[in-house]
Amino acid sequence: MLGLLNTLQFVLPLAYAAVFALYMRQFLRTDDVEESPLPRRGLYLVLTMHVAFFVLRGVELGFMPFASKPDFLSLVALSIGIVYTFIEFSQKQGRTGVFFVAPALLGQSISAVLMDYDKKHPLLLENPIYGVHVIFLVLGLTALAVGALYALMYVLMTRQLKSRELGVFFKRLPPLMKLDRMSRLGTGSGIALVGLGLCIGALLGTTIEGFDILDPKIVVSFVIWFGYLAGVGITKVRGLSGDQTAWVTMLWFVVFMFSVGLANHSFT
Amino acid sequence: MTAVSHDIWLISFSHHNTSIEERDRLVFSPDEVAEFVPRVGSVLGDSEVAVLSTCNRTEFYLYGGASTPPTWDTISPLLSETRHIGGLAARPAQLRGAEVARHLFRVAASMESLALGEDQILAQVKDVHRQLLGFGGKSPVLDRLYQFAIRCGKRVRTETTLCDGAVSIASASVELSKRIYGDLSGLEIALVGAGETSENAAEHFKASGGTRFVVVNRGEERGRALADQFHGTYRPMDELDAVLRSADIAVFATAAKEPLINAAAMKPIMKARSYRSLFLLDISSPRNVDPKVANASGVFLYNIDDLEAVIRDNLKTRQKEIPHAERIIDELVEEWEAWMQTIRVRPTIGELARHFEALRESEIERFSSKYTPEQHEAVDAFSRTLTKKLLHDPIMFLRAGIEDGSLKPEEVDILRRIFGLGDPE
Repeated sequence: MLGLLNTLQFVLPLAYAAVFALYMRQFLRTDDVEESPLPRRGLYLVLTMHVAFFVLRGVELGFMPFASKPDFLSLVALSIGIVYTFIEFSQKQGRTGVFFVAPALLGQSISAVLMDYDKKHPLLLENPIYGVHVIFLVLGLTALAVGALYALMYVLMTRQLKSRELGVFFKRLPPLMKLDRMSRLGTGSGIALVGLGLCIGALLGTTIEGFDILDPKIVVSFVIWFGYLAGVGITKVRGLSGDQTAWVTMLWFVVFMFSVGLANHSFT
Repeated sequence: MTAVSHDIWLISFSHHNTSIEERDRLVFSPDEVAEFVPRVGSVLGDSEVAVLSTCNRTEFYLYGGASTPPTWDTISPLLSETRHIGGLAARPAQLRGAEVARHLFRVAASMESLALGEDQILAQVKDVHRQLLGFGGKSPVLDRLYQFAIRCGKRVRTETTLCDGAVSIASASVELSKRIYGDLSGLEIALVGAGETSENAAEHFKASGGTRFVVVNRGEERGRALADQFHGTYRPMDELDAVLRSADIAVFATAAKEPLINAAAMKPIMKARSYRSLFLLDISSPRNVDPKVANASGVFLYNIDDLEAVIRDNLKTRQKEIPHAERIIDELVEEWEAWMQTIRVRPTIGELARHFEALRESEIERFSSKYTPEQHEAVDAFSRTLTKKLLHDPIMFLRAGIEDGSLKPEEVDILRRIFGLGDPE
C-alpha cells in the first residue's frame, strides 16, 4: 500500500496541474462556444484519486490523517476541489475553475513535498466523529472563502460595468448574476457546514472528560457563526444590491477568519 | 480543337465601386441566378458560372469556356437581356486567377464586408455553393473554389476573434445584457417607446432568447401594435415607474425632450425592487434617463455614447485579428493554387501521351509495308516500350512538381513548346 500511496502522492500534483491547464484554456477563451466538459471530467477524476489517497493514508496510518501540516494542506486542497465542483455542477458554469484549481494545486504540491509517515498523533484523531467535525469545518471554511472570492469577482465586474471599462473580467468571467448566485451558494453552504461542524464538535465534547461548553473558544466560535448567519438574514430581509451584498460577504469572511484566529490564539 | 481558358475570372460590383442604388438593381434572387447561369455558361462556351449576390455585392465567378477573357462587356448584354439592367454607371472590378480565390476567401471571412467580421456572409457563400451543386456537378472547379472559401470562412471564425463582439447598437445592448444576466429567457424586458429603434432592439433581444416584453408608450395604438408583435403587454407612459419596479432590462428609445426618469424617481423604484439589479439602456437622443441615475446601487446605465464606445472597442479588437486572418487566407490560397496546378497540368500529361502515341503510330504506319507481320508485331511492341520510356521522365517531372508544389507554370509552357503541343486545350 505504501508504494501506491507514494505514487499517488506525486501523481496528484501532476493531475491537478493538468486540470489547471484545461481550466486555464477554458478561461482564456472569449468566444461564446459551449464550454468543454473536459476540465470538469478531469477534476472529477482528480478528486476521486485524492479521496482514495486520503482514505488509504488514513488506513495506513491508523488514524485520521490531519496530524501534520502536509496532511492538513492536502485536506484543504481536496476541500477546495470539492466545494468548487459542487458550485460548478449546480450552476453549470466552469469559467472560474482556474481560480480554485490553482490554490488546490499549490496546496497539494507543497503537501506532496513535505509529507512523511510519522505515526505520532493526538489520540483524538482516532475518533471518527472528530474526523467528521474537522472535515465539516474545513469544508465550511473553504466554502465561505469560495463565496468571498466569487463576491470579489462580482465587485470587480460591477466596477468595470459601472465605469464602462469592459476589460478582462468583463470578457472572461461568467455573467454578473451567475457570480452573485455562486457567491451566495458558497456562503450559504459554508454557513451550513460550519454550523454542522461546530454542533458535531460540541456533541463530541460532551463525551470527553473535562469538556466545558462555555470554553471561551467555543463560545466565540458560535457567536461569530451566529453573527454570520444573522448577517445573511439581515441582507435577505432588508434587501441589499448585489454590489452591497458582495461587500458584506467579503467583509464578514475577513471578520470571521480574524475572529476565529484571535479566539484560538487568545484562549489556547 | 478549341483552346480553353484554365483561369478563374471575377467580375465584381460591390460597395467599393458601386452606389447603393445600382447595387439594389443588380441583386439576383436564387430563381434569377438559376435562369441566368446556364445562359452565360453557354454564351461563353461551356463555362462554369457562379453568382454571389448580397445587398453589398453582386459578383460573377467564371471558369473555362473560350480562351478570350470574359469581360464585363461580354456579360452586360446578357444582363440587359435577362434582367433588363442596362446603363450602369459603375465599372466592375475584374480579377483573374489566384486573385479571384483570394478575393472570395476574404469575402467568406467577412474581411470584404462593410461591417468587418459580420456573420451573414458565410451563410450566403454556402447558399451559392448549394446552388452550384444544384447544377448537377457541371461546375467542378467553382464547386471546389467555394468549398475552399467555406473552409476559409470557418477557420477564420474559429481560429481568430475577427467575428467576436457586437458591432451595432442593438447587438451591443444584447451583448451587455447577456454579460449581466446570462440567459435572457424569462427576464422582463421593458421597451420604452415604440418606434423603429425599439422594434430593432426587441428583435435582437428576441433572437437572443428574450421572451417577456413590456411596451411602454405614449401612443396606445402604436404601443399595442409593437407589444402584439412580440407577444408582450402594453402599459401607458404614466405607469413607467411601476414597470421599472419589476423589469430586469429597460430600453429607452423615445423622442422625449426631457428625461423620463431621474435619480430622485429611481430611489423608491430600487427600494421597491429590494435593490435587485436593473439594466437601463438609453439609446435615445436627447437622453431619456438622467445620467445621475447611474449612481444608484444596483443600476447599470448605458447610453448611446457608451454603447458606441463598446462597438468601437469591438471593432478595434476585430481589426487586430486581421493579420491572423490574412495568414489563414494565404495558406488557403497556396493550397488552392496547388490544386489549380493539377487542373492545368493534367491535360498536358494527356496531350503529351497522345502526341507521342500519334508519332509512334504514324512511323509504324510509314514502314508497315517493309515488315512481315511477325516483324511488324515486334517493332510495334518495341516502339510502345520506347515511347513509354521516353515519356517517363517528363511525366514524372510534372507529377512530382504537382505533388511537392514546385512546378511553375513557365516550366509547363516550356515543356509544351519543346514537344510542340501548342496552347492548352
